[in-house]
Amino acid sequence: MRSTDAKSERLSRCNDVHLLLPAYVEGELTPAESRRVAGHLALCAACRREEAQYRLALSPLRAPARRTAPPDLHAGFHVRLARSQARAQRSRLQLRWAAAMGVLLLVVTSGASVWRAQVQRNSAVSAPTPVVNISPGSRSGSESPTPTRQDIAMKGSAPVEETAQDRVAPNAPDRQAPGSASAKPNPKRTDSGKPPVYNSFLDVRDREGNTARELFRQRRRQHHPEYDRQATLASADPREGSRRNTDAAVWQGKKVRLEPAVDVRLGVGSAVTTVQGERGLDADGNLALIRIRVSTSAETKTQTPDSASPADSRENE
Amino acid sequence: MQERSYALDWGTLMSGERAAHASDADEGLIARFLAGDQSAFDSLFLKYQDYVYNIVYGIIGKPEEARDVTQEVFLQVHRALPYFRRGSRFATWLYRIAVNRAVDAARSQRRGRWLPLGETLKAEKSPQESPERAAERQSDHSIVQHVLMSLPVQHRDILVLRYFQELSIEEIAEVLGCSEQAAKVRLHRARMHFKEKYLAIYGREERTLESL
Repeated sequence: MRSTDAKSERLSRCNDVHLLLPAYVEGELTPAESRRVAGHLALCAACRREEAQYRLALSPLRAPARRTAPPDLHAGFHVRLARSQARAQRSRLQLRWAAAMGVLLLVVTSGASVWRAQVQRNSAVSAPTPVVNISPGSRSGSESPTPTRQDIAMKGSAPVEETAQDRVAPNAPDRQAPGSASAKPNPKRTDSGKPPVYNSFLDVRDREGNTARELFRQRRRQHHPEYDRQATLASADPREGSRRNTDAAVWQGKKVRLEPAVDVRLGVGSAVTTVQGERGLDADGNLALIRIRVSTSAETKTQTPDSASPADSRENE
Repeated sequence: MQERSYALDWGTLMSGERAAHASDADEGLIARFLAGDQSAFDSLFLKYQDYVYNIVYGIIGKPEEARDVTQEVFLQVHRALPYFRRGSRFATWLYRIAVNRAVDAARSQRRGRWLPLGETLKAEKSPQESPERAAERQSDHSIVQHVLMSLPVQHRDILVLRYFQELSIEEIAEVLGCSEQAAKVRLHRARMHFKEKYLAIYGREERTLESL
């Protein structure tokens, strides 16, 4: 028992000394630690062997390898420094160029947006106010108090009321009423003298003044007359001014009763878009027709006695 | 030569009183460089190039790569010198950059265990040293480098700092960015590892020589 304790104590002391041996060999221990390690080495052959191995292995390390730098190190450094500075300057220039381009792009796009908004606002404000014949003088005259669609369309661009089937942008050039094929407005200029603004390629006119929409209809009338007849019936022909009064239409030879279903008005800035939906019921009460009307108008704040608001114009239509 | 006029004796750059003088001189050169004097940086370069090259070479073990990495170290110093914290020792900062760059380069090597056995070391030879002793010392350097390259990088760098640069434990801890106790433990393990590798490679040869 006593011999086991002594052996474990010696092993523990050997482990402690092993931890200190490299520093002991290199002379980095305090005097007290050195004395303790030396005392143990005098008694322990295994630790002496370990110490000898450390002395053997670490002795080449003690003579420092004094290498001198290559002679071209400094010159090579300057070459690389110049290259690095040139690269940094180039990347700085590229960064500035990219930033300048970005700012330019921002300015151009924002300027274009402002310019476009300005143009749209000007065209909405300067568009001729639709002349609706409701002035006191004309009301008692022979002229009809309710203007026809052609009156409104030929006088100005706002408000323009249309069906979904016949949708044209509000600022589109003068529109031609159905059936009046002889009316050929100037394709280059509108009544206000400004160049036309096309929102659909269907409204672009050729040299003879025909729009693509009209040409399409002509072709359709030639080849599919039945479709044209049905479409005319389906629209209940609001241009004849009879829709509001009769609340009735003919669809595929049957008489249908029209009921308003949807009436939504959206105002963005000075523009008001009205979406009106109607459904037509046949004699049995079945749904036979759905009609959607979309109209866009510019609200004008100043009203002259001879002018009426778009709402008025719609009511009178 | 201008180069010699800035070189200090080996092993004395960061130790004791001369380290303080060197630090003062470095601060003056740094201030001149920051004021726009490019020659001040050249002075710093020539003063420290051998030290940095030795650290990098000891860790990488390839002369060509060591030259490139040394130049990169000074390029980084040139860029970062305006941000150098005044009051801290320039040599410590420089050695830290050198060790980090060298360790990165060594880790990026696919075959890091490489020994330039044919390379002739430009050892500083003392006038009274005999040719036999010089050849023996040169052989020792080759052996040391060979064994070093067989060690992991984290043991290589601390042995280089301790034996090639002769830095104290405190300075090593400062360069490596660790505590003194951690530096001691790491150095102990590095020495133990070096001894095992050394004996594994050269121990048999030594025993053979002893038996003769």
